[in-house]
Amino acid sequence: MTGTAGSGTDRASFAASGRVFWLLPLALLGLPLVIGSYVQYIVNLTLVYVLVGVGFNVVLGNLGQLAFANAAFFGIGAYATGTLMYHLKAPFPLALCAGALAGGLAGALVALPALRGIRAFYLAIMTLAFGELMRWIYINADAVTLGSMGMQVPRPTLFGYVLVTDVDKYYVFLAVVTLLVAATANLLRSRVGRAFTAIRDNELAAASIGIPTARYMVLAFAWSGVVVGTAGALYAALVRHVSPEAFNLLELILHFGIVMVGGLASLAGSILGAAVLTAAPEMFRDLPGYEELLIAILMVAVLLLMPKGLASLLARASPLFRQRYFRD
Amino acid sequence: MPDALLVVEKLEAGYPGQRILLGVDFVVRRGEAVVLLGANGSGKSTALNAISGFVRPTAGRILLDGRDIVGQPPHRAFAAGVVQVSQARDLFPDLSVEDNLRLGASRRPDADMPALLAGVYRDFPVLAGRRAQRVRTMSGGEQQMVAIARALMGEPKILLLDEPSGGLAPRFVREIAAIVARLKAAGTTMLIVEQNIKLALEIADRFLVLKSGLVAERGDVTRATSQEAIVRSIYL
Repeated sequence: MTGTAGSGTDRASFAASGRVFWLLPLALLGLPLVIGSYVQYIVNLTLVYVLVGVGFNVVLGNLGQLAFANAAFFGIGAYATGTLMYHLKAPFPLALCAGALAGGLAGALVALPALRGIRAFYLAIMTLAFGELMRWIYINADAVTLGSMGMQVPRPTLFGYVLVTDVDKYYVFLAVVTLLVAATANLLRSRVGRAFTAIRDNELAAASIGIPTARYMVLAFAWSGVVVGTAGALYAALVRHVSPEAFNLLELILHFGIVMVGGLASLAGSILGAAVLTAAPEMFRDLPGYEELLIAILMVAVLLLMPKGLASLLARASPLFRQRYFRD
Repeated sequence: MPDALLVVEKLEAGYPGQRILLGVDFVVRRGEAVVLLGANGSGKSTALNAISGFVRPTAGRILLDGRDIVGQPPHRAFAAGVVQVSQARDLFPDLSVEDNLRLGASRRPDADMPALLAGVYRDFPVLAGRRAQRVRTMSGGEQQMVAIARALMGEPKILLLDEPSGGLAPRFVREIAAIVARLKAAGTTMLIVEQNIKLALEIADRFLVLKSGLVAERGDVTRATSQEAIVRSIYL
């Protein structure tokens, strides 16, 4: 749990570290000028997975609850967005909000057993069942989802402007990701975030100081669902094809990889984890047959050498970063 | 009873397949310290947990200041004014003393944090010098002080202490006894579970003996029969 900011100097450096956060998206504004179209696509995909990691980390790292429904939230966001755009010709911003909302509702639904006292591995298994149930629905509710063939999502539009190129999408994605990462950072620093951390560190202690633990668990899952559902909506707009195999167990393993490689309970870790694990398959693409092996070696190496993830590297380098974005 | 703060009536509680409390009745008056005595498994901790909401009673009533709080979850019991220090102390070991204390008042939106902290540091001078120390690195006795201090940060109407001297070195047992005496003098209402009968009779105004899920004996400590008689009523 983060300590309380004490002296005036502490507060000033804490505020300064907050301003540093905004430098990254500002710097990224010029990125399309120096990269080609293929790399642009990978960057867009990385932005999608940044939200996947950030959302998953809220439950896994900040709340400390093992869960397996992240790929389901991702799929629900993608399907909600794709369905609205495909069947109802809804504009992208509306479909995006629907994807976020659907993810949030799914998150709250998955966590409802917590209100009945279900916790830890029992709740984790329920989330796994939910994920598999969703895959069954994607395949069998063909009237809506178009079954195992999936659906072709129309080109996203923003206030009448069609987002044709990956550069167009990039700026929309960057704005959405920046907004949600900042919102999550603020949430985690608020009373709500401290309650999540208290529950993770000692749920009985949290309850004994008056924290309604079950309610906060539902809230953590719901927020995680909103963030990951939004990632799903961006994914649908980027790839423009939504099908059940995109949200299977392998996808879930990738989500775990992003959080673990980046660093549990670290927002910056989620960003780094997403960047590394989205870029790595592309880097190793020229080595067919060794691709999975090399990615696995990379993951194991990071976890062995940096058990607290890539975020620990930044924490070592910068005390400012350590104070705000890293958990000892 | 006009000055009754906590009224427990025909309380029944337990765990799946195991009934522990079979109809317990007692009253704790405002400003007094009542100690619950009994053999292992007699239901002392279950009674505290039922009052603080960690165990859901199957029957009976728990009135705090005239309001029925029976079956309320822990956070509602806390909001009503019941704060418990459990046997395990339930601290956040990786946080500093001060962060633990602040968390104690985090659910009191109108709490005057600086005043509360100043009050606690006045009552627990040992903690004032260690406010930045991680709780994990403290001794059991010091951790118990942090746990009691954190409970006081929640401004309880009634403080439930579950074996405050459990597992502590004699020096700390004496220290805890002095703290409880100070709290009593300051008018804090307390319900205490304690195995150490000598200590229990030293710090309490009244005692209750739980046996086979019922209150087997009760009395005024000052007018109490001998310690030996109480031990007999607990175990024989």
